[in-house]
Amino acid sequence: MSPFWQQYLPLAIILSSLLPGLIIFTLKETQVKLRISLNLLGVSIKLVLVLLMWQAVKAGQQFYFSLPFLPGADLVLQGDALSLLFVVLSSVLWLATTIYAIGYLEHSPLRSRFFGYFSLCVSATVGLALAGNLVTFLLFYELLTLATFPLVVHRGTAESLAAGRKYLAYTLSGGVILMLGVALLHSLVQSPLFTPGGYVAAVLSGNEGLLMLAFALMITGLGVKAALLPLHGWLPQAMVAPAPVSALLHAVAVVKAGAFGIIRLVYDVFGVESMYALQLAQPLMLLAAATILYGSWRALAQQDIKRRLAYSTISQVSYITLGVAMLGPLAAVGGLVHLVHQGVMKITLFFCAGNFAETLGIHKIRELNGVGRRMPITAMAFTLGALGMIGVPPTAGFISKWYLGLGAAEVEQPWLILVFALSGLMNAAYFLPVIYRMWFLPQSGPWPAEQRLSNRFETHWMLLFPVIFTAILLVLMGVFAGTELSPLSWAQLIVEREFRHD
Amino acid sequence: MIDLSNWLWPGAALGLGDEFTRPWWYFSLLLWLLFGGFSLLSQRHDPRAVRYWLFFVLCFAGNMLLIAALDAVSFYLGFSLLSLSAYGLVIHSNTAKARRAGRLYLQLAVLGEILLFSGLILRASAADGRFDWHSWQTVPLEPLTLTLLLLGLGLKAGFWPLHWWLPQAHPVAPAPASALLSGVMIKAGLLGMLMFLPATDTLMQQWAPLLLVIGLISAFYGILAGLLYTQPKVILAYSSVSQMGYLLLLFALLSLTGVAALPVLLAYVVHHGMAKGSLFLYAGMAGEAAGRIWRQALFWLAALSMMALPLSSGALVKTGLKTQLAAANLPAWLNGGALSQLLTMGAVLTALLLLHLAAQLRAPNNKQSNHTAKASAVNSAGRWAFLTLLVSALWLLPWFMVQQWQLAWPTLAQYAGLIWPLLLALLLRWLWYKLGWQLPAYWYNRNAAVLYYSLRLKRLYQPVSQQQRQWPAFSLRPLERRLNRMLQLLVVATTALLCCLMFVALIFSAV
Repeated sequence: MSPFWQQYLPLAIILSSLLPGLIIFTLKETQVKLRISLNLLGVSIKLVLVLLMWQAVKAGQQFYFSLPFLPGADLVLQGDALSLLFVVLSSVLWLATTIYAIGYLEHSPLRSRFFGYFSLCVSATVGLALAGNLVTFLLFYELLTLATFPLVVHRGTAESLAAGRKYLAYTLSGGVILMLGVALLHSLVQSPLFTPGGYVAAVLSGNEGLLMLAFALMITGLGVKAALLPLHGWLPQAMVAPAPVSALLHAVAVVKAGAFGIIRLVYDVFGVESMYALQLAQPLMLLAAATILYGSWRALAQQDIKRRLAYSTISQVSYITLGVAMLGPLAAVGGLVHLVHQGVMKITLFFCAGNFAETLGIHKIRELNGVGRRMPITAMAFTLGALGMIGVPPTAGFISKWYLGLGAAEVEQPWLILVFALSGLMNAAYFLPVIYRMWFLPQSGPWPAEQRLSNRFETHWMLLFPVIFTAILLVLMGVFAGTELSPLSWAQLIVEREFRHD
Repeated sequence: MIDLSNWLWPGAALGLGDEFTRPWWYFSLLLWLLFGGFSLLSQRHDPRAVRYWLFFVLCFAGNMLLIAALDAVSFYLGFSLLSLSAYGLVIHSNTAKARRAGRLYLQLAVLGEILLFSGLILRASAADGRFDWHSWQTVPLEPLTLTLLLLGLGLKAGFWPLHWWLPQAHPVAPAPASALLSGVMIKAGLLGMLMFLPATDTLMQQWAPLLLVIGLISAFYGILAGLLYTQPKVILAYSSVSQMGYLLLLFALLSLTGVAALPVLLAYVVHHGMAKGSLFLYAGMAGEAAGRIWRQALFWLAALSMMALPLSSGALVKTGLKTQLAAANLPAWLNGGALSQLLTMGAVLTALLLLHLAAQLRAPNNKQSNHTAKASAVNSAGRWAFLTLLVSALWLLPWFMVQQWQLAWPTLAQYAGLIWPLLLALLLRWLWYKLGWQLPAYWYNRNAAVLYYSLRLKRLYQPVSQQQRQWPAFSLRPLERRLNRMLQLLVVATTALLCCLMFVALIFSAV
């Protein structure tokens, strides 16, 4: 690839969604066709660019783009294997979500605003994935907060405004704490590029206390978005957002941004040796384990579909944190691959919940009785996603649990296997009754608010196809996990590169 | 061996290279096809036939996959496919009873899966990340791993004390499905034990006597419990618990005899699968056999084979079991002679249970058949033909066993040892009948306590009324509002004052 592209490709990937987003803001509400074509054009260009970058990174090429920004900290975009994992995930799921959102918001007001912020949100996510140092990461992290807020409050109801306020309160304070951490670290070591193996080892002696403080601050800041235990309060509230937004929030954008930040922090800023030297892994591991169990436990009692899914997200995202905190190669593979797998599974589940709500007006779990006969494809997709969450093979969820379990045994923390087992049991306890209701119970009454959205399919095709796509994807990722194209082999490549430095 | 590790999940490989997976595969395939053929006729007028066939096929696929699996992940895939899909067969009739049993089954199946998963993870990790179970055979077992695997697989195999779901789930399923559950599916647990718990392992050899005792207890428990019930399929399910006890005993003997017991184990599996399958099929259509000698004869042929009548497959495997027990090097606290006598007593009890079953099948309240209403004569004849086929295969089995696994025909003395328990059982049964011995009525047909606990468990994760705890709401919003209102009046003035003060401070500091 030419030097020009090596420099500007990361920027182009961000701009491919940023520019259409900015143009969409200026469009009139009635210019539906133009808006849709702009959206789809942005998605396709982004996918092509990401594909190019993926091939180049696989071949071992480097991407680097920088602008002067702060003294000692340029604005750096770079493409490495880890960032590609997240970029590919967000671009592919952006495609599905865009189509879904177009179908979902058909004939609803304020669509220009919605799609504008929607594109901004994805640009921020991709920027965060491509960020080359902590300062750039922080910048995009804050942008993401701001771009998501209008989406959360999109409906404008009292409930969604309350949720939005809570969301802002949590994430902005999280952002401030993260900034403090970054600033503290910056004063110690500046902000060099993310490097496998970390860069704090050089100043380790003498600065243990400050480094631990910086780590704690940054984990707190990132933990707000990653919904770690005491900081998860905003997530179940934020599910009042429209279904495509919750899907994006839970699968790609916000929650994953936190998890991705933790991965970067542990592997590319502190590095495995410094983590051991500072003994930071154990507390993080405990926190993540507690979050896993707590999220599953709270999900059991929820009667609202999306609320149950939200608590399930709290639990599942901590698998990623836990996999990273174990500091072993196999556990890292499990955590990284779960970043992708959880995203695809959770987006499927949220799409399905949106389909039930949009087509039949179903919001509560007890209203799901017999839905398998009315909407078999959506119910099937939901079943697959739920089985994946429980970790039943051959879905993608099993592969990540298998590697996380192996990783726990590898670093000789067998009690973590107990955590996975308990969480698996609870996952089964809150997903299997839902599946039972959908398929085995007869319909208990008329649907709360049925709409006929399509003559041929069970619901609007734009709502149905993304669900089918992600459901097939989650099975394929599990069944063909051993192939070259699977997220698993990509995660193994990342781990190989991360752990090779010594 | 088919290596799929570059195509499917990591380490995926299928193959039938072993002395036990190959016969297991063929035997399972045969039974699945036979019962599938039977289901074609028996589920013909079933309004939920599509559902039945869906789960049937999924179970079939899972079972075949787990037998052919060479790696742990494939085995686990097959195992969970089998376990979860069998739920659909258990609750097929959709009665309240079936749903209760199904719930218990599913709870225990999921628990078993998780235990198995943890055990496999620990095992794979101990084997340095190799997933194929052949290479695991040489890796020493650890107590935790062994416990997890025994519990996880045992919950499927259904021996005492992990048998809870079995007497609940088997009777409610349609006849061919319960025949499959008892004949083939619960053996999947045993196969898993054969694969993942190598008999030559030192820890396994230490634990084997314990397993042997558990197997014996299970063998007796199943029969004694079964005698207290009057529904034929419940009796048959308890009989399965008892027979799985014998199989566990044989599994333990594998470690104690240095795998010489393997042929007997395989023969026992095949024998039990066929005999129990025929009995379940018969129990499902006993109503059509009333007054027809040939149809009842089929029952007696199957039952007598299970009672180990000379020349039957039962006689072969029971004799083989005794021979292996005599050859095993038992620890000092286990007396070989006493064990052998216990086995003889077990034979008496088995015969007694089957006689009890025969009596219950003749009882008027158990005569109704699932098929009386709509079944045509051809359909009925076809089903009986399948049963005839199965029973004749069962009686041809001894010759096959002698050919295939070199089991020895019993000697005359051993024949005598086989016959007198039968006669004793007949005598006991007759006395029992004549003297009208009965236990107090509340001993019979008791509801299992485990159903109650299953419901309690369900209430734990699915509360009836939503008990959302209300946390004291702590909100900054009112405070914020009040602050805004207060500042509204003076906001410009305060800011200006603040600016002036800062400016003055700046000037002073400059001076």
